[in-house]
Amino acid sequence: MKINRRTFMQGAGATAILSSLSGLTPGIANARTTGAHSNLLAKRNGEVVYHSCLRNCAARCLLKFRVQDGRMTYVSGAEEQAKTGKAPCLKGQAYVQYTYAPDRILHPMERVGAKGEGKWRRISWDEAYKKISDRLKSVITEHGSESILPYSYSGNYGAIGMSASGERFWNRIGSSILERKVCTYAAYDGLESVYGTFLGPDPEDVMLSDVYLNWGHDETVSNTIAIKLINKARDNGTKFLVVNPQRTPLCNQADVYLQPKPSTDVQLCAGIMKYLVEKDLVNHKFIQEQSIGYDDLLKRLDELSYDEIEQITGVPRAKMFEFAQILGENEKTMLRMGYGFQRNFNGARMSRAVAMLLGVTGNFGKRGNGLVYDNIHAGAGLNQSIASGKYMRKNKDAQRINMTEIAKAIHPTNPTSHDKPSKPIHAMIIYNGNPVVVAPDTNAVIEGMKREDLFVVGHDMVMTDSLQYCDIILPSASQFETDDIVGDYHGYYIQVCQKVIEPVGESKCNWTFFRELGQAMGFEDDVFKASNDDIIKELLDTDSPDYKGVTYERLMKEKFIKLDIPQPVLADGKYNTPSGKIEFSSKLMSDAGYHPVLDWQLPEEEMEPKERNLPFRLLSSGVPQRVNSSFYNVKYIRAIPAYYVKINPVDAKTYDVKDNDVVKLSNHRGEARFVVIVTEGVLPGSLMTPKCNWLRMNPNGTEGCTNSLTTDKLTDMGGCSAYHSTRVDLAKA
Amino acid sequence: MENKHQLGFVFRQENCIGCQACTVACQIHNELPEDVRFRKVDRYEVPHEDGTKDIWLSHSCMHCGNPGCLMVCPSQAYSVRDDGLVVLDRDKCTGCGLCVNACPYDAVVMLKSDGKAAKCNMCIELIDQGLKPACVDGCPVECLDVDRIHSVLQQKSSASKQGIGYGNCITKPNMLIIKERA
Repeated sequence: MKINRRTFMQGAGATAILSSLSGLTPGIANARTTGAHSNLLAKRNGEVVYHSCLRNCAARCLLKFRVQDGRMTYVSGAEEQAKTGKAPCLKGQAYVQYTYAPDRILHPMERVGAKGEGKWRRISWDEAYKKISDRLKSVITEHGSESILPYSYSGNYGAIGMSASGERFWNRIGSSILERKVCTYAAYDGLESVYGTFLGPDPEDVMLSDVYLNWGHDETVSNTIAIKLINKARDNGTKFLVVNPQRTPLCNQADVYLQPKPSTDVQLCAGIMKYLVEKDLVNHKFIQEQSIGYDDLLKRLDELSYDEIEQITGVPRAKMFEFAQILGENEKTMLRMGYGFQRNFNGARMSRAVAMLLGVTGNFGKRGNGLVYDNIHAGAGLNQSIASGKYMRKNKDAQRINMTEIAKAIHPTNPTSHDKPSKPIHAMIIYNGNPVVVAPDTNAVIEGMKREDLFVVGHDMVMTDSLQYCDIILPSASQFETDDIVGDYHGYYIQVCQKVIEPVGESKCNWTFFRELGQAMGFEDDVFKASNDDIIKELLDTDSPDYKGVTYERLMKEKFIKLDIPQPVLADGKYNTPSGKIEFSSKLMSDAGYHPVLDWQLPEEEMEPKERNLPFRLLSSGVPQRVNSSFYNVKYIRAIPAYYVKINPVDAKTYDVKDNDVVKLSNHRGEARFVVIVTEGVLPGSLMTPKCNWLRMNPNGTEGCTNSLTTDKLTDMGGCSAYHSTRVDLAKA
Repeated sequence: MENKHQLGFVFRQENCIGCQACTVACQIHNELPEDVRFRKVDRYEVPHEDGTKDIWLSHSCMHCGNPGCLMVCPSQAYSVRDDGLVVLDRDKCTGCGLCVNACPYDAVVMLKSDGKAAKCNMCIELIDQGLKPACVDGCPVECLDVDRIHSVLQQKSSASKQGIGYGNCITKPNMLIIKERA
């Protein structure tokens, strides 16, 4: 008899199945299902080599690779690193497929034909170095060294791979300075305006917390391995509160989940604080001893009614009160703040409002308390200044280009930077990055990249959308094909990245490339002779007190070391603000032109009218199966959908679209096509589509991707990207 | 007659985040073709208070006590081990596809490469060494496990064969859903 699975689903009360798994090219079937197939276990044999995941993700898993005959065969989490455990996320588990991807570039190539035409000729590394160094020298002679621009960010998060390698070259050559501020900087200013730092407590202390409050973070995407610890805390009774305009997986599991309209967080925080004040759930002693400006806060809260808050945020007040009650009646709250929501025109101001919640409740200075945002102690404690050769830079006043504004900086006729005319860029080297689909305003980036007078070199593992527009392409080794070390930015760990295999094909790691390019340029400095090991030793030769007791020998032997950072943080009640206290009223904010307490302005007010009047706010979030533009080509991962748009049922009805329809999103910057998922996971008036997806992999057409739509206007403070302050129109394709 | 040694998947549905690490871990271990998934993760949007919420079901072969695949297979390619695992001898499979239709849980797939059936065997090469299957080892949030069904039912009062998207049926499936938090 046939029992259909759908029968069970109806019986279980499910309303919709939305998981569709697309079929792809068939591979070779090795699957057998009888007996114990020891051949499947063979890949688990071999020498063990430890390496850390170098993705731009807060998890920073320690990984154990198996190596046989010089080939990486299997990867698992290093279970002895308690934070990592035995299972990294699916991306980490697919690192063998990532490393041996059939589309890896194996040798240098030179463009033949027009830019973007896709015609290439194989050349040798020696030829490549000659051509690049000749061109860079002539650009310097003709236009000055500032007309050369690095473009790189987080494709490789190693201390050498990300920073030391390229920076030695850029500082020596005196290039323009790339401000790599795409990520966290608006919130740095917002948090510092309240309590003087953005560094926070040990996240493993969540086990001691009464409340775990997640504000705008999605652990599923970046920090999956932290969830098991949060789950354990919850099993012990820790309450779980979540705020996010997009319903992330953990939102569904919260004790109370608030879904505000995008960027209305200041008003939502005001509502929560209003309730805490009215119900006398604030910590008077703490406020009196450790803060200034509380009276100003009270006055400001009086200016906004619950009716207005409800109307602006869309959060029902009963829900908000329930949330505030849990926050107020518990003693220890760990607040995990995300990186995404501050990528808005009011990013710093929203972050400030969130941090103020912990101020009124006095949630600082005890273990299990505090705000975890960007715990960069481990990376920041390394001696990056020496390792990246800052002392070599002669033109310390070189022009600065914000990477979010890359399209403006390489504009064909009118280059600008920070809203002022800038010196034209005539050469660019791209590594650890994929500006065409990662930077906002993809079409404008492509227009600039196509300039015939812009010489572009790309160093990457696979043919990204950016490499398509290069003059010379160089094969990059993966992070596993070189030695490095890396610090956490969530917990407090410094970890090894030991070379797992030799570079595939003719590929070279970042440092080998920049070292040899430096030599080709004729630089005879000793720094261009150093090995990776030499640089690791320089990085660890640091005065940072966090690194007390950490030596090269110890790190290589133990593979990971948790830095000895005294807990609880901020225990002495002294804050690095102008007043030395928590500042409910901040001069830093008023000096920046905003309200010193809480600023009510919303991003829409800053948009040009043609964008402001479009019907949908576009959220472009990370998804668990990708990190920025990485993993799009990786076997097993590339089949998992990443070109969809989530739309609320109310809007779906208005626009007459249903699941699996293809729709076109558009604004004055461009357009892109996505497959519809109808869900209450987004509010009416909001859409969500995964960020940084590739043009050439879009099964709905290669004319556009998510960043074809996004704004490159910067945040209120910190010079951060503001992708989410984008509006779009929607039409059936 | 209940098999006291029966192994089955134990799933804490309340904690699943739908990341599909289990799916990929299975594909990697079993070296599956890219379009073949022995373990799948489905999202269900279910009614909840004022609106809806998402719940995920990670599922593969249920290693049923009364397996539909085994019952319909004309070439007797299926068998049940002492520990209750339902295994398929692909050498005996003729590719008739009856098992695909007989399985109420969508657990059996036909491989394009040889036209024969294939399905999850709980990574018996690992089970036989006292290890966990690849999907369990690959779950970063630790919401999937394998255990003896009989003892889990005795120890966990919340354990049941009912969950969102999953229910008990005539084939006597051996996946349990447990709840630690109400």
